[in-house]
Amino acid sequence: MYVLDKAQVDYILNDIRRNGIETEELQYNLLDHICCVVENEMSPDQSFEAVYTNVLPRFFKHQLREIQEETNLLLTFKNYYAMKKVMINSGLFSAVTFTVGSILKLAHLPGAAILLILGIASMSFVFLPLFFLLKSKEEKVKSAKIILGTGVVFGILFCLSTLFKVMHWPYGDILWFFALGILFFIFLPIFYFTGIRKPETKMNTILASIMILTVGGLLFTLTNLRPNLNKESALSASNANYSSCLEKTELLNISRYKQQTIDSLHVKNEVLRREVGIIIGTINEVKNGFYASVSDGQKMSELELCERFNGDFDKVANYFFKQTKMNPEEDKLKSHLPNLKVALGKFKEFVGSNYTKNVASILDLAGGRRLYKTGLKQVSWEYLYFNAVPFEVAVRNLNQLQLEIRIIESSCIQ
Amino acid sequence: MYSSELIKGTLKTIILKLLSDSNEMYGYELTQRVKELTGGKIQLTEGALYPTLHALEAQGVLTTNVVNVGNRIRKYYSITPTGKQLANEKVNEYAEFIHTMTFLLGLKPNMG
Repeated sequence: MYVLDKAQVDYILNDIRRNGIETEELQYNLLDHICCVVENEMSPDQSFEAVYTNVLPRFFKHQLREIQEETNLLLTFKNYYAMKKVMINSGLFSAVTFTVGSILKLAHLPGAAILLILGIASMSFVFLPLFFLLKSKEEKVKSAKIILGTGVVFGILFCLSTLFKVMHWPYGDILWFFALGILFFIFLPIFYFTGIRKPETKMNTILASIMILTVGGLLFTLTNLRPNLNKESALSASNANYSSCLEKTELLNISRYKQQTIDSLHVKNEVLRREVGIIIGTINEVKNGFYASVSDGQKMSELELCERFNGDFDKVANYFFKQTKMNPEEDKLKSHLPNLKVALGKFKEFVGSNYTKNVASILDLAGGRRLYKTGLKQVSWEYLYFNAVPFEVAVRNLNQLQLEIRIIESSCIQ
Repeated sequence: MYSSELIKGTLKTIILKLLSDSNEMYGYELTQRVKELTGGKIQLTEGALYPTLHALEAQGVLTTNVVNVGNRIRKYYSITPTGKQLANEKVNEYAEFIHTMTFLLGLKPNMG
């Protein structure tokens, strides 16, 4: 049997490399194999080049690179079936948890939040990335891969923004706008312009683009660009109502104070007048501090603030309870709720002992019961009126306090 | 010679079975053994053999041993215990498959 010399072996090795076999181990495998075939088939009267040229084409259909490509494919796809299984199961899991979670949420039953989080997380971080990995391997054209990629990114952002919105987490809006931006400005143009170039896909592309545009547009319409107009007008009407009532009661009280002619009563009423003045002032201070805190120092109207913190209960709770981001100027208001509560307590005591008046409702400092997902719970006065409430409700409660104090004042001096 | 489509689905089974029956083999040897055992009816193509060998090695089913032969390197493949188990599973699965196909294609109508 003929034995190839070093030069001939090197020649084959270089040829293998030139023909696109990149993996070293594969190069040596093929080298040995080709050498074996050549050595076995070469007769003494034949030239090495002739035999080699004859043997090599047996290794491939079109070009030698195919072996490298097939190896890469098998190595990348060694977990293909496992990935496919995980993808299908995670998709199924997402669909079920998301549906059940949504139903529970609608029915205000416990477990909704955890199911929604699990469902959307598995959709965004398992199903969609795996879907992209597996599908992009099947797509041969680069543009199809880009369309698939942007589509998957849109899908992930869409799912996450829905979760953030539903859970009232911050930055849900930003995610949502990113998702729509990708859909309208990246995905749709690439999809449309690659699709209409080919006559066979032109019609379907136009139809699909119109549908994407319509559905995307509808979703955009659903976006809460501005806070609910009803909410705005309700706040404005309620504020106007409060100030008008407050003004009327104040005027009424002034005239009643004037009507007092008995000296002993006059002295007592003057003390009341001063007490009321102090407490109304304290509430005003709390109100202003609250506005300043949530507007980050900018001058904003109540409506603008309401618009800015639409649905952001945390801002309110932060101001009244956490107090971590306060600047020194505002720091003196740090204990405003406890201070206010003490002042209100004293006021109640004063009114009770001097005028034998009973005060109830928002001035009931014992707190009350609030409905939680797990049922009714007894909470403190501060929590009942100032924790986990929207901006406008916190403002309304402060207004309500002032009004009720004026009404109590009024009933004391009548 | 059988069509490559038929052989494609059985390549792993053939490789695993041959390697579990012998100590170690190299690529060319595998093709020759198959050719010899089947009287040339089944010929493994290099284009399918080496990618599969690499994938099985990456899977941990096969291990390799590199030996210098003259002016070149030769890679010997041997099967791991996991590989042996897989080989048995594959062979049994294939036997079942033949059984079903025989019945399905009516090759033995009185069967089963």
